[in-house]
Amino acid sequence: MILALLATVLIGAGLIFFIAGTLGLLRFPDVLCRIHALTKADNIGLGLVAAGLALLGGSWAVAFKLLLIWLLVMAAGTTAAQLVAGHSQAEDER
Amino acid sequence: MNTLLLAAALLLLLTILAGLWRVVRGPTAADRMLAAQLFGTSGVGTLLLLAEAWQQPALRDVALIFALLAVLALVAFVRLRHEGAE
Amino acid sequence: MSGVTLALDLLLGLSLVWLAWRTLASPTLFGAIVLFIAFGLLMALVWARLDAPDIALAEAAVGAGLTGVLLLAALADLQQGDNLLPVREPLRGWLLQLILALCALGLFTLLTLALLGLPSPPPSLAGQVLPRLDGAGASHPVTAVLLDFRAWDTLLEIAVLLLAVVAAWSLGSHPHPNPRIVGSEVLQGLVRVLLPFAVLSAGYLVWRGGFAPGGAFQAGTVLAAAGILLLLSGLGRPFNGRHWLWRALLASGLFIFTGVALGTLLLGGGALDYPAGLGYGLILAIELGLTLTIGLTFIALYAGEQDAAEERE
Repeated sequence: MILALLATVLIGAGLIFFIAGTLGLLRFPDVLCRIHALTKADNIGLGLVAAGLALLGGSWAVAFKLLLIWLLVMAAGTTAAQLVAGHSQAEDER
Repeated sequence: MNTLLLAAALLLLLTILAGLWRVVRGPTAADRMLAAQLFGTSGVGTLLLLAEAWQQPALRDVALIFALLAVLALVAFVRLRHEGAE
Repeated sequence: MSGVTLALDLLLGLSLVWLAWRTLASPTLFGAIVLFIAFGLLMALVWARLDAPDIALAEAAVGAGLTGVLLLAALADLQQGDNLLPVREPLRGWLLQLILALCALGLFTLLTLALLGLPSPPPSLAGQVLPRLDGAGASHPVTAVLLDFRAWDTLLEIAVLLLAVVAAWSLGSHPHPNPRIVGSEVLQGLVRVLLPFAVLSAGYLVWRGGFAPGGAFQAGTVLAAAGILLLLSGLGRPFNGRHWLWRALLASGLFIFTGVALGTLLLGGGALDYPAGLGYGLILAIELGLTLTIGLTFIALYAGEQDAAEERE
C-alpha cells in the first residue's frame, strides 16, 4: 500500500518534469534554450517514472532493467544535446 | 493503479504530440531533430508505463531498443549534413 | 474498455493518420524524414497496443531507428555534388485532388465493409499452431512459425536481403561523414559506452527469441545500429566490400540456413524438417547466422560500395 502510494508520487513527479520539458521546447525563444529545457527535464522525468515503476515491478531484475534503460537514455540524451548544440553553433557562425 | 498508469501513459503521449508541433514548425533543422529526440525519451517512458499496466514485460525490451537506437538518427543528422541544406 | 484506454486508442489512431498526412505534405524532404521517424515511433506504440510485441520490437528497431539513418544518408547523397534535389510541389489542380479524394474514400469504404463482413471470431491459424508447439524447436509461437513451420519463407527472405545488398552496391558509393564537425570526441565517448550494451542486447534478443518476443531480425538491427554508429563516429574505418571475408560473413546466414535445409533433406526428412530433439540447437544456429547476416546487410545498405568511392577520389 505504502509502496503503491510512493510509486504514484514518483511517477506523478516525473510527469511534471516531462510536461515542463515539453513546455520549454514549445515556448523558449532559441535552439540552445530549448535544448537546455528539454534534455535535462526529460531525463530526470524518465528517472522518476522508472523509479516509481521499479517499486511496482516487484522484482530486482525488473528494477535493474529499468535502471539500465534510464542510464542508456541519459548517456544518449546528453550526447545528443551536445551534438545538436555544437551543430547549431557551427551553423550560426557560417 | 492500472488506470493511473494508463493515464500517465496518455499524458506522455500528449507531450510527444505537442513536440510534433516543433517538428512541423522548426524553424531550424536542429529544432526538428531535437523534437525527434524528445520522442525517444517520452516513448521510452510510455512503453515502460504500458509494460506495467498491461503486464507485458516484452514492452520493456521495446523500450530498451528505443533507448539504444533513438540517438542514431540524431548522430546521422549531425554527421551527414552538408552545407546549405534545407 | 475503460475511458482512459479509449482515449489512448483514439489519440494513437488519429495522430498516426495526421502524421502520415503531414509526412506526405511536408514541403522539404528533411522535414518529411523527421516526421517519418516520429511515425515509426508511434507505429511501435500502436503495435504494442495491439498486443503484438514482436512487431513492436521490429518497428522500434527498423522504423524508428535504422530507416531514419538510411533516409538521412540518402538525403545527404542527393544534396552532394551535381545531383539535383527533387522539388516537392504541392498537388495542383482541383480535379486531380477531387479524384484522389474520391479514390481514397472508396478504398476506405471497401476496407470498412471487409472489416464488418469478418466472421466472429475472426479466422486465425493460432488454433493450428499452439497444439504443435511441443514438438517445435522454439516455445515462442512467432519464432516457431518463422523458423520451424514456415522456415522456407524465412530462408527466401534472407536471400532477398542479399539481393538488396547487391542492388545497393551496384548503385555506387555513399559520401563519408563530414570530418570537420564539432563534438566528435563526445560522440566517440558515447559510442564506446553504447557499443558493449548494443552487442549484449543483440545476444539477449536472440536468446529471448526461443521462448518470448525477440529474435534474429531485432537482434541484427541492433547490431547494425552499433556498426553504423562506429562508422559515423569515425571510430570504425570503412571496410573493403570486396574482401572475401566480408562477403562470406554477409552470406553466412544464408549458408547456414541452406546447409541445414540440405542436411535435413539428406537425412531423409523433408528439407528443414528438423529431427526430433535437434530442433532447438539447429534453430539457434540459424538464428545466430541470420543475426550476423541481417546486421551486416543493414551496414552494407548504409555504407554502399566503398571501393567505388575510393576509385573516384
